[in-house]
Order: sequence, then structure tokens, then C-alpha cells
Amino acid sequence: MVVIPPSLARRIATRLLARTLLSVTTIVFAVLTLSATPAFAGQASSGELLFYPCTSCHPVHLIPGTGKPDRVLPNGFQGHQIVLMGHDKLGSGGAACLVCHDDMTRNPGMLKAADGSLIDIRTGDIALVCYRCHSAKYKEWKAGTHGKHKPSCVAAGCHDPHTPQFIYAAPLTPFVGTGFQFQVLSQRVAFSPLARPAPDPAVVIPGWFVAVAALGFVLAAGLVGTLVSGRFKR
Amino acid sequence: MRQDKERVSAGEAPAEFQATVSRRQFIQRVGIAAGLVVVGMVPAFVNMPETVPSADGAEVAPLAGKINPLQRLIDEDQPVNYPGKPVFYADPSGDQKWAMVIDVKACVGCRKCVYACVKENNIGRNSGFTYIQLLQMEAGSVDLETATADYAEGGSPDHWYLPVQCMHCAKPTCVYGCPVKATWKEPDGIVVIDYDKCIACRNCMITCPYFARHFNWVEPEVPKNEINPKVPLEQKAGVVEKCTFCIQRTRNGQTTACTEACPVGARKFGDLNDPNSDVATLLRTRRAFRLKEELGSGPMIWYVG
Amino acid sequence: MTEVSTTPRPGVKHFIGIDFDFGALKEASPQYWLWVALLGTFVVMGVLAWFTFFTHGGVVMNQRDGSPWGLWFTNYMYYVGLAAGGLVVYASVHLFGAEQFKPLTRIAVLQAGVFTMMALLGVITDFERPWRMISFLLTPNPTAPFVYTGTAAGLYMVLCFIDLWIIITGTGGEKLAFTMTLIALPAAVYLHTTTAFVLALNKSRELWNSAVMVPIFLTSATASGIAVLIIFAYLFQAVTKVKFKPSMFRSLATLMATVIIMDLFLLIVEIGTVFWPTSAQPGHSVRMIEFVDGRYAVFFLPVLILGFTAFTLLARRKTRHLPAVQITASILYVIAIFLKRYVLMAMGFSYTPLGQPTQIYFPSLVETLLALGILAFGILFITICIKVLPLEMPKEEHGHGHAFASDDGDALAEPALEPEVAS
Repeated sequence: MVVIPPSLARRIATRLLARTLLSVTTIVFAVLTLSATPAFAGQASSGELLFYPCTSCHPVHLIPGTGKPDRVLPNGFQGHQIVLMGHDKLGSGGAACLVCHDDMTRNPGMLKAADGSLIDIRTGDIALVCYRCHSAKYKEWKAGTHGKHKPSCVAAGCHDPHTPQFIYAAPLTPFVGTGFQFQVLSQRVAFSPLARPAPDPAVVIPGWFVAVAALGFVLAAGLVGTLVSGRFKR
Repeated sequence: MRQDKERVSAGEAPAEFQATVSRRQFIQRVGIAAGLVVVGMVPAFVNMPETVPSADGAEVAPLAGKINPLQRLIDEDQPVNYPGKPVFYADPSGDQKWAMVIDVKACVGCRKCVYACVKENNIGRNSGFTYIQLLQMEAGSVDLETATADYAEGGSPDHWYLPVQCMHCAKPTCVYGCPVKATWKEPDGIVVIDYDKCIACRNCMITCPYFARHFNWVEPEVPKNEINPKVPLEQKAGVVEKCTFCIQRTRNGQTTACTEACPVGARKFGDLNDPNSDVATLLRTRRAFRLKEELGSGPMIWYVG
Repeated sequence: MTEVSTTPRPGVKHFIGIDFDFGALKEASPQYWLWVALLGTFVVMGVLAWFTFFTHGGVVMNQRDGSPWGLWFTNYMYYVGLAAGGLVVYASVHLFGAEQFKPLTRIAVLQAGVFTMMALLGVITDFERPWRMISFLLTPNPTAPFVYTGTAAGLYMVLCFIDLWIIITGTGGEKLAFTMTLIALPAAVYLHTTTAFVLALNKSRELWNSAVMVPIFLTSATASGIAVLIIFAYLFQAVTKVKFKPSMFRSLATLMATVIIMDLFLLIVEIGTVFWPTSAQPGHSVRMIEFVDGRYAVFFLPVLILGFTAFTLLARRKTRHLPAVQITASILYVIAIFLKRYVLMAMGFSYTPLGQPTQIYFPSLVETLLALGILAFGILFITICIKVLPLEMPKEEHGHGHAFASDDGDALAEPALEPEVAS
């Protein structure tokens, strides 16, 4: 019989727990990533990996400046890269992120509203963040004259907050290249629209009529010939 | 004369120069007139327009006592040659005046509206026309002569896109030109065609400035599983048809098929009489233009850029 | 009220006051019957074409959304024009005292009636459901030019046939004939004006939207109507025993030349206004330039060439009296005006109102045969009328108090017989 000292037992148990957790996490990751349900508050429209389900209980802290997690994550997970297009002009490097997010090291973090208060990325009205700079568009959207009466600018709406030029036409799916995607404003990208509708229908003349007409012309030619050549007295 | 002389000698003016009104009477009369003027000005002060609080969100009533700036457009949009009997679809439910506003900044020329319209309105797949045409316009000009409808690439950065369809004009030249009144303008603004009355003279097609009316040279064919039962199909053979602002939908509380289909929300359809509708808001707050406005037909589709 | 100039012959049926000479048909030459057979062939093909159109619908025609009107409307404008033109000659007899045209009276009126009938046939054969035309009477639209021209054509045709009857039977005498002229000439002008309005009153078609359409139509119509009348009169002279005075033809030729130059002048005015820098608008000028520089140049340039040739043929005084010159000029001009109507209509459709170019319009086989059938029908009608109806104006009979109080027919003068009867 092997005697296991309590400290070892504790370590084994922790490791077992960690591995179970890891498998569960992996499975959950896989399921969620592949199923890609869109209406999850706080989902980045650019389709980055989801980690809210886990990190709502197991928060991950990022090192300021590098954006890397401050401890080793299971499965060698290093963190994600978010590409900014358009909104990269808000600042250089990590400063651009801080314009909207209050603290990049804390995930998922909060968003900054116009009056300085913080909005929860999962439950708050994210549109108020957009309102800080795009107040005119915000009012138009509220009045119903901008876009398609969607409930939000981002998540379940049309714009990706990191690459806002991308507009979604189909029901919202992660940005994996499905459905119509349009880039508007200054950088229009050509796409293939639906084809131009059918041209005018062709002329259809029944065959029997063409035959009759040919006969008729032959007959007429014959009559004309007879008239012209014949010597008839009046 | 003698009386005059008497008066002059008495220090008064002669008869022809005698004042007919005494000073007291004059002051009394001026006083009454002034009183009337003051009383008359009161209603003007009472009805002075209240200041509208600045719009900050959408909670404020947009007109708040002012004259509706769109009233001129609404008043122009009257029924023409309306025979008084209902069309096949529901009667207009209220006093709507339908209009459409298309945001040409958002339109990318994807033609989804064209196809949605074809499906909704039983347009023959072999008929060779669609109610909606998309024109690819050159930058900086609304000149239709330089536009093309045959573009194969959408979203071109050097062009902009203009969807054109029946404008349901306030002064519709097609209605004026139909010899038998087979087409008319309904009270809610929709210009309709009676397929049973049309004699197929095609005069309306000649007069329409927007090339909006189309003739069924062939019998329209629609795949069986795509036929919309709410819209006629067989009756359309050999007569003229055109966009009807999806009358079968809009009179039952829905919006037009093209508005629903537009992926970027470039189309807005609504009632000009409703100050909160998208179209009324857009027309009041944005710079809008109409196609071929100089012809004076009063089209009910505006474009905002 | 029988005609006294010819002895009664077998086969003459008296009906509504006119002697219908069916016997003449029996005596007609084989050449006549060959001609009738030729026309009959085309009439039969036209009927079959119409039948094809009924069963297959608009797809058999070459008209499409881009050019919704085709050969039938060209024919409508053309025949209405010819009808109106002939009547001007007839009217000038009474209104302007142009006595030299008197012998042509009945021919001119018959031409007017038959050509209007052909125009209306062209319209009716274009309707897929002609029975719906009842709506014209039930709910006509007072703002539609089509209503005015359609009703005008119908009334004018009836008017012409009634007028023909009045002239042949001599009812009412000179007075009624004069009254009919007073009605017929404005009716002819009205008919052709409303036809021009069908094109001109379209603000969406820049090529047509011009006030000068109406006078151009009238001058083209008059000139081509006179041309057809000249051809008809020569044929009539060749086929029957009637002889017309050469001076009559010469007057007709002079009149025609005058009207041709007026027509060309108006055309130059129209072109000038369109292309002058201070008034040029792209829509109109883009369409107009295609007259000489586009798909339709091959149809329009012959209009100019034939028109000018016709004019120059008639301009020379020394040769104007020659029948060959007159007939050639008339034929050239008749063809020129037909091409002008066709190209005017087709050019109006060369661009859609949205500025997109359309396919060139050329009538399909069914359309062509339908149009030929209607033309053949009209000519057949006239051919039979030449034999059956008394179309020559009666000779003046001195001393016989006959029933007409009116007629001074000096028309049928053979050179040896020139009694001018003083009343």
C-alpha cells in the first residue's frame, strides 16, 4: 500500500481539478466558438475568441503595455490581438484602447461613457460610448433615420467597434467571411452585386406564320411579275 | 353764398371748408380705433410659437406648435382621377401620404432591393424588367446620360448609386396621359393601375419621366413556389405594371419589400403626415433632392446624401 | 338623282342615292384582277399576322419597354397626314377658289376617308384586347392627347365618307358642299394637330417636346398628301377614261413644292434651336445628333436627300409640267415622309428617360405584314371604288336643268370642249 502524504494529495487533487477544468474549458471553448451564437452581450463583433464564460468567474489580468496575461494560462493560451482599423487613429499603441476601455489589464473591463461613468460591457448601453464622438449619428440612429432600426450600434447591430467600417448585412455572425460585408466611407471595396435583371425577351414568331409569309411573298412576287410582264389591254 | 359770407364775417370758414367732424368726435374716433388695434393684437401674442427645446434624444415632439415645413409637399399630394371605388387591396386606413427617402450615401448598389421586389410582386422572371433600377452615377454629377444601369461591380469608390422606381408623383404625367383612366392616384398617394381596364396603348410609358412603367410583352412566369398570393399574376399579361409601394403590405401595416431588404438601411418608407416617421424626420433635418425636379411632376421619392 | 353623263348599264345598283357600278367590275381586265389578287394576298397575310398577334401577344412584335411604340404608330401619323393633306386640296377649291382642283374633289375626299380608316385600323390592331376600347367612351380622360386624336380620327373618317356621299349625290347643293368644307378642313387640321400633340406634349421625351412639332407635322402632311393625290390622280387617269387638265397637275406640283420648302424651313428652325450654344440642352441635342451621326442616320439622311431632290425636281419651271417629273418627285417625297415619321418616332425612343441607350427599333415580320396588310386593304378599297363609285366629276350640261343646282364642273374638259357656262 502506497502512502500519500497530504501535501502530495493536495497537489494531485489540484492538478486533477486543473486538468478537468482545462478539458471542460476546452470543450466549452470549442462549443461556443463553433456554434457562435451572436446575441451575447459584450461579444466583439470582429469575432475574437470568447472568454467571458470562463473569465466571469476566473478573471485574467493582463500586464499593462504588453497586453499579456500576468500568469501562465492553461493550454499555453497567450492572449488575443485586436486589430484596430479606423479607430487606430484614436491614439498610438495601447493608448487607443484606453479611449473606450477603462482598464485593459482587467478583463473584460468597463467602457467609458461621455460623463466619465463606466458602462459594463456585458449589460450596459454600449451605444453611449459611440455617442461620445458620433453624437450626430447617435441622434439619427435614435430617430430611426440611420441604419435599420437595430437595437445597438455594435453587438447585435451593424458595426464592429474595432473596425467600425465593417457593416453587417446578414444576420450577425462572427466575422468569418460569410454574408454580405460592406466597407463604406472612404475605402469602398468593390464586390459583386446581384446580377442585373434579365434583358428584354426575344421576339418569338410562330413557325407556321413564317412559312405562310414566305409563301405569300412568293405568290405576290409571281403576281407582280405577271402584271409587269403581261401585255394586257385596258 | 350769403351763408358763407355770414360765416366768414363771423370768423368761421366758408361752407366748403367747414370741418364735418368736431374735435371731440375726432378724439373719440381715434381712441376707439386705437382700442381696436390693441385688442386685435392680443391673439397674435397668445399664439406666438413656443420655443422648441433643443433636440437631445428623441423624446421631444418635433413640431411643437410650428407649421409643418413639409405641409406644402403633403398638400401637393392629392388624389388624381380617383374613381372612388376601392382597389383590390385594403382601403387606405388613415390619411397617410406615403413617401420614400433613399440615402444615397449608404447605397452600395447591391441590388438586393431589386430582387426582393421581384419576389414580392410576382414580376415575371422572363419579363425583361424590374420595378427598381439601379443606376451607377459618376462622381459629382446627377446627369443620367452618363449613368449606367449595367454595372457588374458594386461598391465602386468612384461612383455612387441611385435606385430609381415609380415616384408616385404628386402630378403624375402617366395619370394625365392615360386615355381611359385606367391608372390613377389614390388618396394616400399611391399611383395604381387597374389591370382589367388597361387597353395597353402604352401612352403612360411614353410620358413617364422616370421609365418606371413596364409592359408585359410576354406572359409573366413565376416559379410556383415563389408566387405571392396577395399580388395578381395572370391578369398582368398584356398590360402595364409598375411599383405600387407594395400596396398589399403598406396598407396592412408593413413596410415595402425593398425597404426591408436593404442591408444598409438606405431606404426609408413612411407617412409624411406622421412627424415622427423616418421620412418626415429625414426631410426636415437633411438636405434632400428629387430626381428631375425641374419637370414639376412632384415625385414622392427623395434622395439624401 | 342619277348621274346623267353615262347611260344606265347593267349591274348598276342604286343605293343611298349613288349608282354603284358593279357591272364595271365584271368587265374589268385581267390586269385589274391580278392587281386585286396581289392586294388580296397581302390582306390575307395581314389578317394572319393579326391572328398571330392575338394568340401570342406582344412578344411577336419588336417593340419592347425601350421603344413601346412601333410601326403602327408610324403608320397612324403617316396615314393621318396623308388624309389631311389631300383634304387641303379639296378645301382650297371652295375656300380659295382654286377651281382648277375641282375635278379631284371626289378622289381627294375618298383618299382622306380611306387613309383615316387605315390609320384607325393600325391603332385597333395594336390593342391586345380591342373590346376594352369601350372605356374610351365610358371614362375618357380629358387630359390625355390620345383621347383627342382617337376621337378626331373616328369622327373625321365618318365625316369624310359622309362628305363623299354628299358630293356624289349632290345633296344640298353648293351650299352644303361649302359648309362641309368649312367643317372638314378645320377637322383635318385639328386631327393632325392632336396627332402631333400625342408626341409633343411629353415633357419626358426631349426630342419631341417642342412646339414646332405641330407645324412640322402639318406641312409634312400637306405636302405628302398632295404627293399621294398626284400619284392617285395619274393612276386614276391611266385606269379610267378620265382625262385631267395638265394645268391642274402643274398647280398641284407648284403647291407641293411650296409646302415642301416650308417643311424644310421648319426643320432647319428646329435643328437650329437645338444646337445653338445659348439654347442647347444635352438631352435634346444628344438625341438630335443621332439623326446624322448614329444608328438612325441610315434612315434619316435619305429623308433629307429625297426631300431636297423632290423639291429641286419641282423647282425648275421648265420641267415642272412633265408627268414623269411630277410622279417621281411625288414618289420620292412620299417615301421621304414615311421615313421621317419612322425615324422621328424611333429616335424619340433611342434613349430611355433615364438616359440609357436602347436597342435600335426595326419592325418584326408580324408587324411588317400587319402594316402591309392594312395598306393593301386600303388600296384594295380604293381600287374597287374606282370601278364601282362614280369618282369623276360630271361634265357641265348646258340647258338641262338637272337636280344639282351646284355643279359647274368644267373639270373634265377635253381640249375641244370648253363651254364655260355663264349662269
